[in-house]
Amino acid sequence: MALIYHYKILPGKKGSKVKTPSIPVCFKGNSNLKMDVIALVDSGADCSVIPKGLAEVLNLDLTGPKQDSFGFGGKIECIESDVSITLRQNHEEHEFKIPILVSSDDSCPIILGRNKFFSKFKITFDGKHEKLILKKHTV
Amino acid sequence: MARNDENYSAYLTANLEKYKGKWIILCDEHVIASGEDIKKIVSEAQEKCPDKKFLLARVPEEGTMIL
Repeated sequence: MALIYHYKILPGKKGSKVKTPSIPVCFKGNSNLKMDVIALVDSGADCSVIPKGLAEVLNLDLTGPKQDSFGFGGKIECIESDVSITLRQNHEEHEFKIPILVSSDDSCPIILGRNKFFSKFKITFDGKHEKLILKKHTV
Repeated sequence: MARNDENYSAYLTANLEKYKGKWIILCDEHVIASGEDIKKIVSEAQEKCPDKKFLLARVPEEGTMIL
């Protein structure tokens, strides 16, 4: 069994198109609210990241240590927290908790990075067929 | 869950050109809220679609995204 997602075609510069490996996931924090979101799967990111506005909606614990994170866009201040995540497609469902960095910048995209996420699945970025395939490791 | 699958299908096929640089929320297969403040649009979506599943997504600004 595998979860298979089509790349999303987003508007790019001057009428061009950008294809992104983004998937629907459900986040659950400390509030009763569960939030279905689109998250970008990023093998280059050490850790998963969400913007502070979303963390506040989910009522995540934001009292954790602060740290500076570095990317191509420069340095941003983040808070360490965690969140429950569910991936679901047809009759397949996987729920687990991942560490997350909460970015102070609300324009920061929702990113699923390597830490505790990539180790759960064999992940294939099938660029030719514009699909992302996640196969759960059984051991 | 069925409703959420429909929101995701709608997201995949939607032309989101006019939402560049914004957060959007889809409910019943349509964009029902958009803006830069997540808490504000979530609140707006909860008012418009109480007790319904919705889907939050970010539409990147124009240009190549390098993280």
